[in-house]
Amino acid sequence: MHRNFRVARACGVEAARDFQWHEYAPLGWILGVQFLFLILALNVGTILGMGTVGAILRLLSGDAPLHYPTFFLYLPNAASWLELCLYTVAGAILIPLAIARIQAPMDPELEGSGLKARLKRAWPPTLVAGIVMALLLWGWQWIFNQALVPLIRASLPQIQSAALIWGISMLGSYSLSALFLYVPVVALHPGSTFMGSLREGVQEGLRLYKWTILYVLIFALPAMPFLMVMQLGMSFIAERMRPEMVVVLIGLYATLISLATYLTYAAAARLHWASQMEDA
Amino acid sequence: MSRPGVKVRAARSFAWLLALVTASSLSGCGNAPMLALRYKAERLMWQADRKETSARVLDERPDSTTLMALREPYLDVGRKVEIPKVTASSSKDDSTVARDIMRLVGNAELQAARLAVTANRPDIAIETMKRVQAMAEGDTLMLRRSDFFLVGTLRQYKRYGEAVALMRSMLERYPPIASETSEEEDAILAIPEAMVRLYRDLNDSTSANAALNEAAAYYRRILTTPHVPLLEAQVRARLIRVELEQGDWASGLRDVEALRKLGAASPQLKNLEPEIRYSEAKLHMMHTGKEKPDEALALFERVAQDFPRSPFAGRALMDAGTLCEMHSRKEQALSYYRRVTTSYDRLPDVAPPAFYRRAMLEEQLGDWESAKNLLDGIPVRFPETMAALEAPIAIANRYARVGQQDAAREAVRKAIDTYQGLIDRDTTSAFCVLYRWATLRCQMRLEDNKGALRTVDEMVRKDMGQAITEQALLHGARIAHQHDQDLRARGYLQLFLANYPKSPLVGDVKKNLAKLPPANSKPKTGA
Repeated sequence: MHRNFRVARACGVEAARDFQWHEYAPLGWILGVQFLFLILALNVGTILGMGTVGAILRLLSGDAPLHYPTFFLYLPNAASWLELCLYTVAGAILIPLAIARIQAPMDPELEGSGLKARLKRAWPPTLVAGIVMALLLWGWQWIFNQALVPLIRASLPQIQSAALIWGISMLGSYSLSALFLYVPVVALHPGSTFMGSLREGVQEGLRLYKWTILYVLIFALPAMPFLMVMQLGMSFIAERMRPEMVVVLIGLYATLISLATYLTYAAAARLHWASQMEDA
Repeated sequence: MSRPGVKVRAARSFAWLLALVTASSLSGCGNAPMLALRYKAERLMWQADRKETSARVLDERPDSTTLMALREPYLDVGRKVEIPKVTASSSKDDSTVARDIMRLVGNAELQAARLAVTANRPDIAIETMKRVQAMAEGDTLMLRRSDFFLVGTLRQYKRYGEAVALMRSMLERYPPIASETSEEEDAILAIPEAMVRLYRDLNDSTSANAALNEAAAYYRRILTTPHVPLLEAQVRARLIRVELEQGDWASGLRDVEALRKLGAASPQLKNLEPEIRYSEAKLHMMHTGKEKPDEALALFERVAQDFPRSPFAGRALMDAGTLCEMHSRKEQALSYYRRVTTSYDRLPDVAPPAFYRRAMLEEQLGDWESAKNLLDGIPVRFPETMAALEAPIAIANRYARVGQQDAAREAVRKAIDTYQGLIDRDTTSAFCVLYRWATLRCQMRLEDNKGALRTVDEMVRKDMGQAITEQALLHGARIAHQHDQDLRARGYLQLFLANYPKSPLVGDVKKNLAKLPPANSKPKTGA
């Protein structure tokens, strides 16, 4: 136990210390698209902004968000949908690519011609894992809202209950996502199969669960205050302060969560490799 | 990252992204240009509003320079947003958005006009409102909003003639609209009574009575065409109120009966019941109150008991008090007034006279201390009312009546201070002319001739054209003549002739003017 902790800690520290831009770059592409979305969101008063981000918000929530400053109340929801889509769909190829670059020093075949073949095998299970995870997250939110939220609201004052609901909801979501974290890592193994990647990925997630959840929570910690403000204090910001502050908050959150994603995968990939070495 | 393959892939991805953005901008949203323009107008409006709010947080009453500067962001909306033209080929969505944009720009202009009014630049404000009217074209909602704003501004700047003319044209142009709930009512229906109130505020009872007749004719004309029950009920209720004021109890009873039938047929009109019952009681009072007050009193009492939360309960108790006073039942009247002042002290039309009448009766029944406390409190609690005008002088009258001449003179001096305080409180209020008139009366009573002439001069400067100023000029001329200021007296009389040519006193004034020694220079007119 003590040794495992030391290994997990070493993997986490090394992931943070050995940050490499070329390893982060694939996730940076996702962040770039998010920034493009936010820049367009700041320009909804132009035809380009209204035709793109305006159209997306209209698709999600009808005509209400097409007004100022109401638009900024709906923007976080649209941004989170975009984040989900990008990390699930584009992430199906970009996340394995980032992990491959992280693992390249440990697995030389992940450089050069072998990379393409590995990525080809890795993206389908990563995509499916992403979709399953999104469905599970939706299911968790639904059950939580139906079963626990009324109970918490009835037993605590408004502010405390809102904070507790938010905290439990976040914790549940991160706990679920930690289960699927190793699917792209395992899918990059030589000779991996679609079903094998999914099964072994989840098994690895369960085996290293306590360390993985620790990585997820610690690396996401800096982004949490921004997420909390966005989810709980949005109307205050949009109506009492400058509505454009919402975009700045979403931008900061997206940046921090992008870095957290990279660091989590970097630490998890190292931990997976270390545990494999240990088993061998 | 430096490998050429990666660069190629990156460039390809960027090209894809750009194509995606362009395609979605062209096809994603058909009326994107219009929606973007509306969004831009909303943002500019929000920014202007925020700028004003921030300025007012720092200074609750900004000076005129600040106010004029705060207009600029509102005017920017019109400058930066061009209202799109709607053509026959425009889609319904486009027409709706174009109308929204026009309303936003119009509203921004009206806000700019409001600030100009506050900055004492009615000329700019009125010009802006006329621009909005031109911009609104066929948009009745915008036109109505602009017209209401213009009426308010004209009234504030004492351009009463223009205000009344505009109100009359509004009655012609905007047929009343049925509201969705019985708690709402189209503001157009309030215009005829607003005209009556305006003339009453000016102390012009002849014009007020004519406006009352005009109001009755207007409501009857509306009722000649069929309307939804709610609108019909609202119009008929207003007609009954006018008929009550006219003392036309026969028509009133007939309309109450019609209103009752309407209420019975539509459950939506249930909340008209207090008004119907009150109107019946009041009509009963008008018809039989002089001989048999108890029947009307019982009806008023039942309105108050059955609908204690309705404002008509307070009105019923007030009328019951008045009826008792007519029949010298002072104790009973006092008990009604006490109930009004205790339970309905926030009813603006009933509470001030109830407090005043209660004070009068408390004094008559021997409790001068309570009466004085009530009278002292009236100008503070109800500053813009006839009660506030009468209360300070009532104190002086009481001292004079019981022979305490020094106390009476002191009370008159205090009354002058009270009126000055009320004027300072809101220098643009329609009541200012009445306060100045009351000040003049007090100064004449104190034989403060210098002060009285100063007040007449102030009325010449600020209230020329109003009915009361006619009287003030005559008093001013008399005082000036008595104190060997014939030139000044001549000036007042010439102002009278120039500004009140239709007055029945013109002949007498001309005779008095002829008796005064001739002057070399003519004074300026104050109009």
